[in-house]
Amino acid sequence: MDEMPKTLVELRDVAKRYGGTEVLHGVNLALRDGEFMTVLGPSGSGKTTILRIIGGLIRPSGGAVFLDGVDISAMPINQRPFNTVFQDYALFPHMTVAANVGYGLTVRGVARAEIRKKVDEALHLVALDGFGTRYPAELSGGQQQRVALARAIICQPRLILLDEPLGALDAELRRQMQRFLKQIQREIRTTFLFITHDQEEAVTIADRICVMNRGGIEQIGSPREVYYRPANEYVARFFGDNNLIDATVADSGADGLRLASASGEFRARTSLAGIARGQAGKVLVRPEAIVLGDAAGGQNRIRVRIEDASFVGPVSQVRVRAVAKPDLALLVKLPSRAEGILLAPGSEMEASWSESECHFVPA
Amino acid sequence: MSLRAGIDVAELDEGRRARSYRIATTALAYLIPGVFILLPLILFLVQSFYYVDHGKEVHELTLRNYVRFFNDAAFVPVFLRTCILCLAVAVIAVAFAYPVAYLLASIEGRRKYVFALAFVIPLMMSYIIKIYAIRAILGSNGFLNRILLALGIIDAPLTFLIFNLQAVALTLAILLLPFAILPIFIALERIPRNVLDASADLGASAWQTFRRVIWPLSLQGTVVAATFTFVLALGDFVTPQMVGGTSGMTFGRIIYSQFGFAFNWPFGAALSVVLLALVLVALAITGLVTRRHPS
Repeated sequence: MDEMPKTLVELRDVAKRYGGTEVLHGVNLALRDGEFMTVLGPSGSGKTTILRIIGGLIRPSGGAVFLDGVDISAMPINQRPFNTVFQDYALFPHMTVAANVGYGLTVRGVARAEIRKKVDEALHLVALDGFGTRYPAELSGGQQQRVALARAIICQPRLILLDEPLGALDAELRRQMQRFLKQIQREIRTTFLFITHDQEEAVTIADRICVMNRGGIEQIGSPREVYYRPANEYVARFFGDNNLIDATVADSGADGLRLASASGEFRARTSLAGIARGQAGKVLVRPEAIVLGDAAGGQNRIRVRIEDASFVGPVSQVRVRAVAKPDLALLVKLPSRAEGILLAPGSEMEASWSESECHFVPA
Repeated sequence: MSLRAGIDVAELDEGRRARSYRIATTALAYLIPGVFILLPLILFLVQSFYYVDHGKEVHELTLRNYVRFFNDAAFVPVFLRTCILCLAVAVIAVAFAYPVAYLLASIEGRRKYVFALAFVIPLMMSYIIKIYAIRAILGSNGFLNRILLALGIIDAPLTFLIFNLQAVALTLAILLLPFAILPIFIALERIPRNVLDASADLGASAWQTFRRVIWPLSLQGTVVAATFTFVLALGDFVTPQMVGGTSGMTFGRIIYSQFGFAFNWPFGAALSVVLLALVLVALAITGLVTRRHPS
């Protein structure tokens, strides 16, 4: 087994207050050396505040920031070995691309020839060879984005902070840039902390995701973990559609959970510690994990009636309702087929899903 | 058929009305500046080629006014001295305006606009009152002298404070300060906050950020401020009249005297044309300097 990667930056009980309102409540976060972490949350969740505190643009009101175990809370922004790719890029409009990219070296007093060499390397890395003499206003959004990235990596920072850098780009360019960022991150082996409010983006790009809500961290985990094993209802709802069924723990053993609900008994798994008998919560089933049809065999089964089926491109969405308990509605997603599957509204069949696709979160 | 034709006529009418309306507004847009700015300038230019003989204006085109300006030892030195004076005014005004504008721009929130407004309010006060106020401060029996006397720093009132060219420069700089503050303030205001953050983030010290980002990005506004004050100072003849004394002769005063005392309007017009040429040169230089970057 691999050795645990060492912690690069750590936030301990970091809080931020503006006047009377606390926008960040005692957050703990350990960033591993070399990982690509996304911080995901809606606007106002405190994700940008975290980035600005790590970058040194603002000081925390409480707690401390550590780099390699050393408290750097009081270290001024221009001495931190971190560089930021800002929202809207924040390129210097009066400087050429080369001057922009070389800025970090220029202010450090690096020799001109050395700067020119490193600027060329950085521009090559972001596929902008020959763009050095242009001005930012002459570039497209995607090109400006890459200049901002080249400018941030040229000083070889320990950590690169990216503040919703792809927000202004159109969907196709966005996907390209996501792949590009990931590729660059592997190439230069630098830790990336990437802020976004787009869950698809967060899942696609990250090694680990930190999900935030209302100034606190809801969960930190791999994309798979936050998707299939959400820590709570908020995270479960944040990532795509999910079926949530009220249930209580009837029995918890080494092989999983037995859950009692108004619609019958379910078997589920959980990665959460301290789930005890009698605990109330929700059963989670992803719509794509449910199989429709009497032949299907999963540990969890409900008799349902088809309400409607709609074709939405690669998947078809089917709404079903439990026959025995009509207030339980489920969403099912099936891969679309050219011939279609006969799911006439009103017909009854079994809906089933396996124990491993079923997850429990306490309320 | 008749209904259809009726509609066509109405549409035609509509189209014609819209077109004539457009022509009328375009004509008006050119006519107003044409009549009130361009026409007087042309009349002036034409008049500068006339001359006065025995108190009567002779309407024959001649270059004698311009020849007189360049040959008479009285005019060119005053003209050059006025140029230098107004450059000094621009430099002094900008030197004071930049720090003020910088502080204003660095105030957080909406309060900065309130403070900025406070610096513009003097523009709404009477020019004459402001000059009298400055005279009351700088005069031999003025505020400044009385304080220095009372403090025992001087034994007799200082007389070099007023009625000379330095007093004109200082007074003009004070009076024109709002015109210098505003463009610089606006230029500083327009620098995005995150560009400054980016500079610090990339390792720049506060001074490096100022020198490499803030100063170049506010340079255009600063040049505009200098041009404003320079051009406004050039045309002023009241201030030199009131605080300049006999040694504070400026080109504006000479032009004024040609119209007001010598009644040689053609010569005054010629001198005005010379001044106008200088203003145009100043504006052209400003245009060149401010159009350097594609941003």
